[in-house]
Amino acid sequence: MRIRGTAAAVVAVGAAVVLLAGCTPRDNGTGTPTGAPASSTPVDLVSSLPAGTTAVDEVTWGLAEGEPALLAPGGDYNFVTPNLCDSLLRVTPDFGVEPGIAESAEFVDPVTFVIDIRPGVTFWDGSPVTRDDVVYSLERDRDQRSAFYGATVLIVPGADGIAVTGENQVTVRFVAPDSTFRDAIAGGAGAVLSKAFGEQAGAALGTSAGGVLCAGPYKLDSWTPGQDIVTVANDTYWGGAPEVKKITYKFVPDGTTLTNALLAGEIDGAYNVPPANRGEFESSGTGTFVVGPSTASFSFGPTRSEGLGANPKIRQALSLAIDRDQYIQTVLNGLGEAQSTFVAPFSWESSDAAATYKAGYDALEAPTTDIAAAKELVQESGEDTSVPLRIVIPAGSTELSQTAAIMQSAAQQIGLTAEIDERQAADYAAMFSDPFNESLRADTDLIAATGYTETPGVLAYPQLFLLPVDQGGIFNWSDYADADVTAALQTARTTPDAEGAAAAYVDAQAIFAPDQLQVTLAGAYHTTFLSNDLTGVVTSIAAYSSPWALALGGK
Amino acid sequence: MSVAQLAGGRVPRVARRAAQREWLFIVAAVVLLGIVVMALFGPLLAPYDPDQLFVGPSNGAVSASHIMGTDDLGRDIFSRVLSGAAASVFAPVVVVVLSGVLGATLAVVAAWFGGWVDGVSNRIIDVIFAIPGLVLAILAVAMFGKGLVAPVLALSIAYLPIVSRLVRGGARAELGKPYMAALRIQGVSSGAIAFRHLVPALLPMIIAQSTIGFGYAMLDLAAISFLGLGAQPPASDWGVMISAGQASLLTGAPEQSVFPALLVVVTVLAVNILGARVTAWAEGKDS
Amino acid sequence: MNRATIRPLLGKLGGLLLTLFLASVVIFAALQLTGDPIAAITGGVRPTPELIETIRAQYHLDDPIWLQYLRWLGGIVTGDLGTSFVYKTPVVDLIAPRIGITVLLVLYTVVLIVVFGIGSGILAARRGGATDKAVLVATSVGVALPTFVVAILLIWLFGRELGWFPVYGAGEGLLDNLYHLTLPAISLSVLYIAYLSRITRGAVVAQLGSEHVDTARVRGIPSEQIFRRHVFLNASPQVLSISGATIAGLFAISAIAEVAFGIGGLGSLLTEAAARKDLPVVQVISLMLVALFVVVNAVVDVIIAAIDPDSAKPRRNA
Repeated sequence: MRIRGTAAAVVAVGAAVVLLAGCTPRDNGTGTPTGAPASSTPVDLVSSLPAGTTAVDEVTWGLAEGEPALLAPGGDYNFVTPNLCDSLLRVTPDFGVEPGIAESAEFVDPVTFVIDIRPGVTFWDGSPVTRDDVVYSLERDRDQRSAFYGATVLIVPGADGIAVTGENQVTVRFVAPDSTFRDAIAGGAGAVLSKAFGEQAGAALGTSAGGVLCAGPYKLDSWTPGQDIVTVANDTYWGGAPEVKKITYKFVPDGTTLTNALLAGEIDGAYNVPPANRGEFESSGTGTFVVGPSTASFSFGPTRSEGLGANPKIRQALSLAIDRDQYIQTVLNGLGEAQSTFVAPFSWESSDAAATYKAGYDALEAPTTDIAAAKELVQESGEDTSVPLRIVIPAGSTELSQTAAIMQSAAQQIGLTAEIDERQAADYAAMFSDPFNESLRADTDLIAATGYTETPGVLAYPQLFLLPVDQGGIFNWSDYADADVTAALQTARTTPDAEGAAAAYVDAQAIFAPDQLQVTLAGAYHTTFLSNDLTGVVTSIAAYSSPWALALGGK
Repeated sequence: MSVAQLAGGRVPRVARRAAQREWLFIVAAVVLLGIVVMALFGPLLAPYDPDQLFVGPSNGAVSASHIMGTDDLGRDIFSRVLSGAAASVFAPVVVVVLSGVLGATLAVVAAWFGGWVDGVSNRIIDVIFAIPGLVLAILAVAMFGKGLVAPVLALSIAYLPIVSRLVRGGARAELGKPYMAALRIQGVSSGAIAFRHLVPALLPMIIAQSTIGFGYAMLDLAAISFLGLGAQPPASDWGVMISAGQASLLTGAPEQSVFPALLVVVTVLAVNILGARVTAWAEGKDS
Repeated sequence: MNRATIRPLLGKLGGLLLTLFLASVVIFAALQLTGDPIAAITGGVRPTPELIETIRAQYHLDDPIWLQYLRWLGGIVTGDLGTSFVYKTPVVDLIAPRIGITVLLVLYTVVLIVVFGIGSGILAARRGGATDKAVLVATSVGVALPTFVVAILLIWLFGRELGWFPVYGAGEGLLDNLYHLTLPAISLSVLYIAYLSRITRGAVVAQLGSEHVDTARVRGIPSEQIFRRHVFLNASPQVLSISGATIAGLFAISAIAEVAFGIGGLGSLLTEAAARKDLPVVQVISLMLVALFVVVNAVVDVIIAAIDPDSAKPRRNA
């Protein structure tokens, strides 16, 4: 599931809240039942593996998130689409941006963005990628139902906004400078689809019946709902054909089943493997366990503008009552780190203004545990503590189920009571996909979730929770309104130079971080398990937005 | 979904023989007594708060302070097993009581009135019997949401035909006996015949069937929990604990799954032995 | 078979059809009570009012329930099983590729149950003594073992520690299928083997002690022949009658093994569809399982009637 943009002036781009279903958990990292705490040795973060050098006939990949809903970009986040649909620009494993289908795509002035299409790029069927296809693809993002709608809101309305300006050139014009657009089109927002195919497929585009036609390194061969998705190498790929002839994606949402299949070598690789089985993965003879940088985090936030969850003091108190180290060792088995606010440092680490972001982040107060102070905050909150705090979690996510148990225990320690409201995956997803439907959130106070951004940049994620609803804060369910934060975030988005944008963002962050609109429990690393025979995959969160299997191959 | 539906209330002969062994019966009775004590007084006996996190290490092994080890969140497994005993034991009790009462009522009514009432009753029983218990449970979960209530209701209905068919047969046999006709001739009212004579005569049979049904209900409820449709974490229901402990089992910390699984097996085994004994007793009364 | 046995069977057939019809009403009605399926259908896409309207029209959600039911039943009779809320594909396309593997799993399990259940039952009845005792102990534990616990133990022991059998998926090609389905089939069969073993033993012991067997013995007929002609044949209706319910039940509980071993079969589809509120899929699979139960039982009735015409009437239960 994901968070998506909607009718608003300024909205975040491609932010997503995912249910990392299938991540079953537990066990100490060493695989022994001695009860020793999980290994707390610092983890080496690797963002990609060396490219494969020998041909491989077939790779079976496990999707821990389950079956994708849609393979067309903008409708669903999954690990299949990035290998199928190449974007204008490309997110590198380290969260930088490099050319893709566009040879260059830059602002020539603060409000004019020129895209030069790489000549000779073809779709899988051999037809050339034209300027019309690029216009068609970008226009798709401007549909309010697209996940990427938010990335396009500053574009001049109407046909003038996205126009053909040369044989291989498309120009995008903005009503105000937009510091986030270039990063956005490195992800799914910049994916290029065939216009002819898309118009013919209509509403079936991206479904198992309709399919897609893109220009990525792998072609969609078949999608049998409930069974598997088969993709084959695109031998005419503009960047050179991949070494792997065929990738079969299996849907394995049950964490224990996935672990068994990976360790037995029946599935060659998977992302988001259960952290609980870390010890087994690390000591496995069948494959290697790789830990990579990520923007993902586990957090919880308010669901209503009234009640206990909406009171910042209650959220601060809960935050103080949860021991982050213990949380990371237990739920993530050491595969994560404490985070001072809900925007992960990896979002900005490759930015030109990284130093400014880092200074701002380091100035934030790191989360601490202080039960006495937490109890005091509960007293100060003025809330009726006899009313139970109702926490929503999705069914099937062991990490979030453990998170809820930990929150419940923390609440008890500070004089509150908590009830867990576990919802079916579809009902849980509906709360985010239909964010204005208050009835879905009635009788709840807090919701626990896993969120991430798959393209570089800091603004995409926090805006959803911080801005007024009419400006894009679609998940601003507690009606948070701070004029300074709103103004600073707007400035950050419309300031063309990186340093200026960073400075404005850091100002906003200093105000919103203590308000804990999302109480971040931990930043979670991106985990990969890959067969010993294979190498070459992207192992950072960029796997959600880049063709991560392009360099996959034999050692 | 289970053997219960095909067992149809019959106790296999082997089990009856086993029950003749006095010592086995005594062991089973003692074990059951222990389980009942756990179910009634579990929370009082627990050395730790069952929901208190990190009273020990994560996935701690068996030790003097944690006699069944600790689970993934450092909770004391022994305390959780004790506090979960109530739900794990009483849910199947509710199933057998509900299915027993409903099934027996339907059967007695059908046998008493006969004719079209019997026909309709048989049809209802046939329809219920044709829907597998697991499907009934899934339908119930879809209707009432997850948790213990829906599966318990579903299994109560799924088990109804077993009791009903057994009791209907018994009731017809009883009604055909000479003393029933004698009672009628004496002018005893229908209600009095039904409640003073017929139901008491059938009671041993119903009790025997319920005892056997308990074991099956317990296994079925655990399976439903395993599929994620029954009791929900952090409840310490035994079925939930078993399935929640799977990942730890893989990594060599089997305590979280093994102890509740052992308890389920031991409880069902003991109840089956007792059930054979009760059945023998009921049949003895019958003849 | 003569006319006298065919007539009650025809009556029974009518009864079975009525049962099937009533079960379809129950299944359909139960799922109508689950609330508005819009969220399940939109599955994450923000439901604009127009979209909701389109969906309501497409799935006929505004029609009266009885009309929806008739449309559904009519569709099933004519081969149109409806469209999945979640996958947006015809339900038949979801079910068709999964039937094969579930049927294979159930058949494999049935073979194990029949071979080991009946085999151990006969063994215990004929050998007696230590063999009987060993079978008694094993079956006592067997009937108390939850299927999923067996599955977890098998995965751990044979899949992980010993590495003898695969623990995920169904493989490709018949032999590979059977290899992959070995552990799932064992985990499904344990409970039933134990149960069938006891039934068989009881039935055989009863026959061994019966008058006509004594008579045959006195007449000097070889014991092997007595067993085949008299004991086994006479004990078989009781054994057969529970086999029918077993097979139908196995299709439902195969969900447990399918989930534990990551097999894409009907059972795992049903469980997943229920969790995702994919009502068309839940309805069709539920009805299929009921139909299967009815058909299997009808077939078993016919077989029993052929073996032993006297037992054609009361069955299944006391």
